[in-house]
Amino acid sequence: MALLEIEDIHVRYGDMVALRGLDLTVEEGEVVCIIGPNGAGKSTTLAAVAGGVRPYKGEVRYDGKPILGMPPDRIAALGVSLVPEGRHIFGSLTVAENLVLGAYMRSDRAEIARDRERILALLPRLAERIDFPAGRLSGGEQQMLAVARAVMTRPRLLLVDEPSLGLAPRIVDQIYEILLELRKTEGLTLVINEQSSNRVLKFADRVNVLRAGEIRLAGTAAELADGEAIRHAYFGFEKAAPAAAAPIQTQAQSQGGAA
Amino acid sequence: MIGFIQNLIDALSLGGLYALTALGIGLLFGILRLINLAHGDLISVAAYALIVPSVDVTARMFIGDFNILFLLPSIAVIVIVLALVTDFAAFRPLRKATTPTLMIASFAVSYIIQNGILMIYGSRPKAINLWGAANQQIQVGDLRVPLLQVITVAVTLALMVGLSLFLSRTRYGVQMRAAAEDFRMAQYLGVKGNFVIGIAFAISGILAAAVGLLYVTQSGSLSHTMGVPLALFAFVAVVVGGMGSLPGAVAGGFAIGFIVTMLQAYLPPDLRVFRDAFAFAIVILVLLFRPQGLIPARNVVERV
Repeated sequence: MALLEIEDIHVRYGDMVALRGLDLTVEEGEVVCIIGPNGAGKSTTLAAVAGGVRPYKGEVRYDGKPILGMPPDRIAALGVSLVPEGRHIFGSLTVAENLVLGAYMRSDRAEIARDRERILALLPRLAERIDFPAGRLSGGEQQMLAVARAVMTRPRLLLVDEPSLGLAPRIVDQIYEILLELRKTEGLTLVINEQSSNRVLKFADRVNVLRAGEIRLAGTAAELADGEAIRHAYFGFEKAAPAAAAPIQTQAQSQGGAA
Repeated sequence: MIGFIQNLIDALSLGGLYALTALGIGLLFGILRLINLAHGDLISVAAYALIVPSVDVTARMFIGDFNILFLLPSIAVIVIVLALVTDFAAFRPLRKATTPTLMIASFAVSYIIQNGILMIYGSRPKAINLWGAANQQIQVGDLRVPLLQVITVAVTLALMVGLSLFLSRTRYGVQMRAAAEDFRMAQYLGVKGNFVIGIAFAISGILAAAVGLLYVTQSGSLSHTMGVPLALFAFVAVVVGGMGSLPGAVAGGFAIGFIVTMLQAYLPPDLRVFRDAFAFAIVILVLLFRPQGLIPARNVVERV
């Protein structure tokens, strides 16, 4: 059974259609990336899973249980954690308070302390600034704190929305290193949104291209490695070069697997 | 000089009442974006709960005759329960509503509570004597200070310190601060929204109970609209201090207390009737120069 199954979800903001029938399946332990231009519906997809946005049609199942319509705090308690776009650090709280906030719904005090030590060992810059107000951290440090805070909830499924937004490439590399390290050590399942494909293809197991509220292309990173099919799907050249044919085939397969 | 110091003590104790009321309003605004004008009616209920419920003109003490160790928790519990009921019945169904809608709902709650008081206790103001001993004066040199004012300032400080310890040292306090800054993000981290809001209402109830008891001891009378001016001035204090900022609410409360007291003391007698107009003119001036308030909140974002 897949850890996350999204089936035919539709989301509207007033008159604007954000998602029109999106399907996505994520297996336990996978790294799945969603790429697409601004306004494609990437953030909406993750928010719909985390409970921040309510689709008017469709179904979302986590670990086999339907979670659509649950409030975000209950979904978080099930083991889904979202690192939203723009980080949403609590700027007036200290770094330590930001971290411990993620752990309040857990009761295993010793484990919480151990998790905190482990994550701070990975992120020495946060450890140095542990009693600073988080609002005084740099952008990269805030993004790391956002990831660390989400990890403190002990998620099985971590949703990361555009972790590279507004950050220098060197910092982005560090953040991806940390994400991959966490995947190895914690056995995390990751869904990551990005606007560009170059970094994503290196470490994702599967890549989905989202445009105008629909998945236009889906395939394994190896299948899409040359980038040609992604370019076509991303910019919307529908009946495009033959190179696009094979990945469209795999989309049909992966949807068949989800049903 | 003595006169000025005496006025200053007046200002501190009046400002303390405004500051405590403003904290109750500011706390809920921070988390819910609710401007709770029914907060003043919680103050009235705290005072009315002291007497036997009846429409008789003369008040007979009921909880007011209890030993203070029972009196304080009894009144606090009554007001906390009422505050939670207002949340459950009026504000919870409106969780996704806009700030103006929430404020109008709080007007409705305010009218309902006022009319409830009218039905149970009648419309005539009643005289009440709570803790008469607190109205005696203590002599310090040439200064004569009413004991009650000292108590008021002490209670204000104690509650402010208590609240700030709660917010900084306890897990629920940290959750409340996080929810006030970014409610949705707090929920994504597993913070239970309604639970945190419930705690905020309970705290606003405790603050209202304290203000109600101090105020009625000083004024010696009960009326079904007694809390309204307190809530109004406290709301202005919240705006002057900086919407959503608790230190701002306290600063605004004391500032309003200071302005009102000093105007009362130093305006020419003919103009004293217009005291509040002068006070609000000063408020407008302050806001012209600092529209974000004296101590602005670090992060007043619209809740999405």
